[in-house]
Amino acid sequence: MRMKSGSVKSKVGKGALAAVLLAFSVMFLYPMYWMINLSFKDKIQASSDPYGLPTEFHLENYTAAWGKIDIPQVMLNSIIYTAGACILCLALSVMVAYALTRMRMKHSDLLRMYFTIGMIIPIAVLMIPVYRLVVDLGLKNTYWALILPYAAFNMASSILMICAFFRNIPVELEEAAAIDGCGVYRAFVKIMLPLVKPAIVTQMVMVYIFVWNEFSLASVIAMGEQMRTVTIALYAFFSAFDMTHWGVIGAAVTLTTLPIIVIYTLGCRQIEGAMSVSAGLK
Amino acid sequence: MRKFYSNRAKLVFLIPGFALFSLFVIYAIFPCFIMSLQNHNGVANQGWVGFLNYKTALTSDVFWSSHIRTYGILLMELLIGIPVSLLLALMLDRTNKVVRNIFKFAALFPSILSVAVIGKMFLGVFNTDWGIVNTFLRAIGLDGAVNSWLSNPKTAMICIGVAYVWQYIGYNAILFYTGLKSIPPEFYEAATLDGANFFQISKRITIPLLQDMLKYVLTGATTGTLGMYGLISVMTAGGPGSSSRTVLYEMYYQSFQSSRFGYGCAIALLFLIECIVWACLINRFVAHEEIKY
Repeated sequence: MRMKSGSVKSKVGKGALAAVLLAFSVMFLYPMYWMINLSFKDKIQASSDPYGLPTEFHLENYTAAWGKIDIPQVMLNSIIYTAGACILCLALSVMVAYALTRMRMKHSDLLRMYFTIGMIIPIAVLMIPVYRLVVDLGLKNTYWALILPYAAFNMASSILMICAFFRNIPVELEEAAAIDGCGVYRAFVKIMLPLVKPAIVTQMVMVYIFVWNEFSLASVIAMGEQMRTVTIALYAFFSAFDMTHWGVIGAAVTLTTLPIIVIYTLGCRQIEGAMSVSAGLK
Repeated sequence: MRKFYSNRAKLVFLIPGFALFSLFVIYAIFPCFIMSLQNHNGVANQGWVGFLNYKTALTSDVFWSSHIRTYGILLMELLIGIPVSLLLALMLDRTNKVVRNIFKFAALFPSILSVAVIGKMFLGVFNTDWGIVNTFLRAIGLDGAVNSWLSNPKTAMICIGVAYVWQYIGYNAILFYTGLKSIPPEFYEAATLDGANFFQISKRITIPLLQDMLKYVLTGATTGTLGMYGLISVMTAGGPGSSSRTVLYEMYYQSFQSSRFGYGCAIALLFLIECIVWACLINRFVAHEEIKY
């Protein structure tokens, strides 16, 4: 697999590989850099010289964006939605997965297939019925309006992955617990949960990314000013102020994205690990 | 052990998750079906119309043109996005550690940005006066190709497609890369000893052994692309006219913008069936052989 090093041909090849990969890296990162760059420019420089470095730092773009989007409130909303959906989804999924793989139930394969349906339905297709359901249940204008559907739609992949983990745990562990007189609930919490912790953490990362960026359901259910997610607040900001001042646009984008960038930079490796595990399931 | 897993315990573990999932994912489909048989304005049923909404959809021009656009984007993703991702993953596997780490960081970056941010970025990229594309075209002397990309009905959808494909190229590349890492190195060693080159190895060993990952990525990309909605809202809101409405955007537009919820539900159900058919086809025809190492 590794080419013989040293030959001129392979060195050129390696250089070309690296160049292509780095070019793509720049392509992935450039738009964000560009937005940050624009955020420091005044209206004139943003439209006449959008690519050069800012000649002076116009921090008033940030105060303008901060004044028009209630950033602490929408951040808090997004955090509540995300944390709520993550916790609820994983708690229920881990219980279902445990029942399906360990409890020797009839029809457990059929049930697992039933949950798999959640993976092949795009959430946006069910926008209308979920919206109606939320209204009928009287959940509109509460955080549950998004937490419940998000948790439900993410259960499919979580259950499949945690099932894969449970299947690899030897039965003897629980048999020993049963002989020692340990009940099923205690055995679940004390023995089984710690063993599938990697799967839970991994899947939490995936749910987090999904919920934080989800647009379609949030745009019909959580449009109210007090209930908006960051994504929706940004969208509403762009459409309400038909913006032509790209300095302020850049500032709004930067302000709302910065927390994600920080988390991403710290947790990039975990995300990659999460992807490899979640994709390893059959 | 039978006593250990009592029936009550089984129910306690199973019921909460089953109830939530069934309520929001499965049960939700039924009221949607009932509404699709009504002339419904979102507040009240204004009369039963039988299958008229389905008939209206199937004979509507926008319904079919939105299909062409939806599948156009899907083709872009499957014919350009996924092969490029696969190629990048193969390259990533053969480069040095520094480049690999830089690429990994950059590749996942677009997938964590929200669609509102990505939509706005690409409004800048395709801006008529100073966007990246037009600036580039002017710089290389192709002034004739300069275009107002997003307000031109012919190109608006392609621009959205570009933004979408851009967002997930890196993500899929990393998925393929993690799949590559799970292939035992002995396979490559044997092939290299036999004098196989990069393309032969990729074709005969890497890609066949990536079947499972390929299936995962294909399913994810198909479901994701068919379900794409946010970018259209942010970038063009379906316009100009109806020239960038996908099936889902048409569904949204007819129900939430025109208050024809019955009709919207009919579109949703027709499209839901399509999504399930595609998922089953991928499941049936990709990676149906079990791989044993």
